[in-house]
Amino acid sequence: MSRPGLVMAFFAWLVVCSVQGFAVVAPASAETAGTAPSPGVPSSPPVPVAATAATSSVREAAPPLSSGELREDPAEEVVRRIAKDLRCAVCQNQSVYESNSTLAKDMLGLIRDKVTAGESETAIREYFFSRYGDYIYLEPTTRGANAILWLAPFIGLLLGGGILWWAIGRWQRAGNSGDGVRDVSAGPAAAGDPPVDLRDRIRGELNRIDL
Amino acid sequence: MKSTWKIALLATVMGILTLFYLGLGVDTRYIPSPLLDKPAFPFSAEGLDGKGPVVLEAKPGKWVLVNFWGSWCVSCVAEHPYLMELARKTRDRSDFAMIGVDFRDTREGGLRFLSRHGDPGYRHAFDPEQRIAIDWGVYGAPESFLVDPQGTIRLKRAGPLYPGWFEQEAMPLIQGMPP
Amino acid sequence: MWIEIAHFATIAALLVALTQIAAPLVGITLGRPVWIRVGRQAAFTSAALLTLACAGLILSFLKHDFSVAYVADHASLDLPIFYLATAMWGGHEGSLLLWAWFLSLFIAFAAWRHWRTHPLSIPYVLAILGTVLAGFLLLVIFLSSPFERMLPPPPDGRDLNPLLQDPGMVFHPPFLYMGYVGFGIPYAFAMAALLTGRVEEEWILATRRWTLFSWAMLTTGIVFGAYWAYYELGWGGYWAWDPVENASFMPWLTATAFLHSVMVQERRQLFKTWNLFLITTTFALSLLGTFLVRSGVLSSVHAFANDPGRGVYILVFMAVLLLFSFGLLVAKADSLKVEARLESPLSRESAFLFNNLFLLVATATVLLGTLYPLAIETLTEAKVSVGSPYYNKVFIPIMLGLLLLMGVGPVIPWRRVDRTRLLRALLVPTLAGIGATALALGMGIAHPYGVATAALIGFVAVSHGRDFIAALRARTGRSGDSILLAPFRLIGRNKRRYGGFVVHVGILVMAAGFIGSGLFQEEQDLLMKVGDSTTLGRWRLTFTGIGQVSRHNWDAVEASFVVEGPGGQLLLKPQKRQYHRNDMPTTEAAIHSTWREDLYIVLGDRVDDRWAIRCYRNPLIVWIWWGAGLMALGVVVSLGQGRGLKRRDS
Repeated sequence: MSRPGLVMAFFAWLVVCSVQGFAVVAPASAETAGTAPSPGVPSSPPVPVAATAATSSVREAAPPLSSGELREDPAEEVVRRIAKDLRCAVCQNQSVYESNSTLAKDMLGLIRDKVTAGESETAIREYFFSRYGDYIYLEPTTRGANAILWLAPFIGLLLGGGILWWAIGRWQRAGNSGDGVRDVSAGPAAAGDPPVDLRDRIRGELNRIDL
Repeated sequence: MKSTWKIALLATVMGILTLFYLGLGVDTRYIPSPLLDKPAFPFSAEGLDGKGPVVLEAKPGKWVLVNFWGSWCVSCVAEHPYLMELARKTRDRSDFAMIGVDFRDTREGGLRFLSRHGDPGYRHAFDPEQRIAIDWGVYGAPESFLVDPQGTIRLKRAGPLYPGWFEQEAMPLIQGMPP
Repeated sequence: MWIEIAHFATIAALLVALTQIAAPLVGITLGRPVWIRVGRQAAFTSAALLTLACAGLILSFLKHDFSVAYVADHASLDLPIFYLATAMWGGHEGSLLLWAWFLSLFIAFAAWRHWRTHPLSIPYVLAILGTVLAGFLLLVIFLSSPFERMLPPPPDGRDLNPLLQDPGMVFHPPFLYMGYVGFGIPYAFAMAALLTGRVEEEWILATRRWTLFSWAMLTTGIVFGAYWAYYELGWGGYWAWDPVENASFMPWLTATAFLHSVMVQERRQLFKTWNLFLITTTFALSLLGTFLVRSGVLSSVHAFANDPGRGVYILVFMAVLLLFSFGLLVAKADSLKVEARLESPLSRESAFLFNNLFLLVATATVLLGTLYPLAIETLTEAKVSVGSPYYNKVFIPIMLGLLLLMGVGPVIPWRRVDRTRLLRALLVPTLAGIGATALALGMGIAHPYGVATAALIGFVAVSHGRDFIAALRARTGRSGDSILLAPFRLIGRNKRRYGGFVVHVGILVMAAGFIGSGLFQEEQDLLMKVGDSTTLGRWRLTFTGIGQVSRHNWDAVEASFVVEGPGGQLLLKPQKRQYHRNDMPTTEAAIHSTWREDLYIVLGDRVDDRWAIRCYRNPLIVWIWWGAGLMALGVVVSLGQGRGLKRRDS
């Protein structure tokens, strides 16, 4: 493999890695977006919040009362996933799930009610989005100017890598055409050729500058 | 170092400094509401006074000022005299009404607030679990929304209403669109 | 009384700091060394004065002097003495004083240590650091004074923020500040090098230990912060990508880049401008961190709304320093003799360059994510959040690239290597990486980031291990050391190199902790009443009772859990604390740590006769703390190396 090829392969590997990282997140949420309401909970159309406001209890979604072995309601998994991505609007940088504030707790209760009522994950996210706007998502959207956020790091890596590669090539030529510039720290024995094998190289390095 | 790099470096530094300079003037607590010019969310909730539900219709047929408050909120105390005054001034208007929403509160707390600071006369919905508040995208108190007769949110103010708010901000809208 | 002494000492320190700026400069201009000596004495004096000031403030705390507004705001009569003494940095004002105090101590130490060895640089170093110190002291005295009296004094104080009453938070700020301030010394030497025009390796050699020390302090400080978040905030995590956390992380990233790239300059005299840029950026980012945290531009807590002057002042101060530093760099850059003579793209030099690229892109990413919301808010009407989901997606691939380079670094020799030889050297580590991938897949790691991290841990571990073993063989073969002693002798002889290795191993251990806790965390949200039990992983939890506890300045509801696990029975007691002088209840998670996983129980609100319980199983979380410990150990090993770099022993 040629030298540029090596570098290209390295960056390609990185890109594949990150693309897969994104991809894994996407299907996971898509899969649950369509999940039917958990068994045992009657499936009902989304209840207007106003109607439930005064009557419903925050804890409706909690497991049934029974002494003994408890298992987590499967709905909690969904609640958690939604709540972890929503920003607690009154906190500095906490999600609704993590925060101890009353607003966050009430939002969590609302999410729980909505999940129990059978609303889809996307619908619940959309609900908060329409009320609070972009601000409510801890993860910025990829729309509009936000694309800078998502692209800049990778463009930076690619561009920087390219420039660096090009610059190294140039410096290399400049160095080679120069009049035998020497590594000043190199001992007389190592002045010319690079060390032969691993052990020699390490011995050479240890004997000279300790870096 | 090439001059391009020099310029880029200095420009970045200047850019960040400028951003901070501009950022210092911004109120970081202000969150713009996406609800402006969108239909309001009608509600029917238990009254704070316990005398039947407080209702906001989908098409109220008049201008409605919805004020979110709580007895735990300090700015609400500051805002209260203006609400009292506004309620008194607009009592005879047929095209304007006010509704309070006491949220994240206890009933005793809300009632004590009204008896201590004065009862402006309009009714308050009681919203202890913030269902209405969250539905309206409220994150602090006080917050006020002006809803037009067709049920569209036309104004939102986060923070206390200031004396003269009605004349300066609400009246132009009300006059511009008769019911 | 004490507070006035502290106040006057601080004012005196400011005057002395101004002397410290002026005298050495006058000395250089007039060619009178006596004046420079005055600057040195000034450095000692301001350190002594600020020590007195800090002592005065701490004494005011210990004596419960509530007529001091700062004491009244951050302490109370029943605050335990440990927190009383450390409440001094519990607020903005005190922590700025702490910053200034550390800086003055470091200046004094530098003035003593480098006086004889660096006569040409020292006047500029004194003047530059004096400016930074004076800048902070002006802030402390005029805009953010902890010395204000409040009369009549309240009978009791408002107590320290409950969240700060935790050992992690007590140690977090001092370590962080030592890191921030410590970078000031290499920065000042770099500036002095530019001003004197002697941009050789001397400034780097002189400040090598400062850099290492500050890096270690910053690392420790950041980890203390994470540890605090894990123990005190009760959400089962340790890092939230909060702007405040990011502010401390950015200088860490650039400092890491600097640590690597100075090696190239020491050894090959390359990257001179680049190193100057890196250290300037590191210190600038330290200042930026202070600005972000203290000016209130990014936080939603409105602490500074009534005092925008403070934000403006810090901004102006920062602008002056930044424009001076970068301007100087740009102006003098051309006079540096650029001797670009890389021999090959396949060399350790260029590996370091790529390491720097990744670290810099990582820094830029964090900076972008931190400033983007501010930019959007300032330039448009909208408002966005950039939270942990963003960083987790974007940042991890960059870090994976760094891990890969970390494995290649020790294998690739200086100057050049031919390709086949490099590939041969990488063969065994690569096989190890493939083995680790198989192992990871077998263990059920499905997330690509997780698999990639596991593969790279195998790769890096083997590349480092092989290098070490080969060196060991070379050594035992020659000197006939015993197998047991040889590793220590080897490390002892090459402290710097193997200190670096230890740091790298610490990073690997940490990375394992990140995968474990990030991908395999299990959690349950339950409503339990006394007598209920549940199963979480290998643990069976039974809620056996609920009671009241009171101590010092708080009352708590305490739940008891009997936990049956592999090691027998345990009793865990999560609490929900109500501090007397604060409305917000705090959670005290009950944590049982083993090397495999942490069991983490949080007591929530009461609902009728039941309690909201959150329990987590956090695998490998202690590996993060141990990894950090190893990193600190590695630095200690490295610090042992003196300046004798050109040693030969053949």
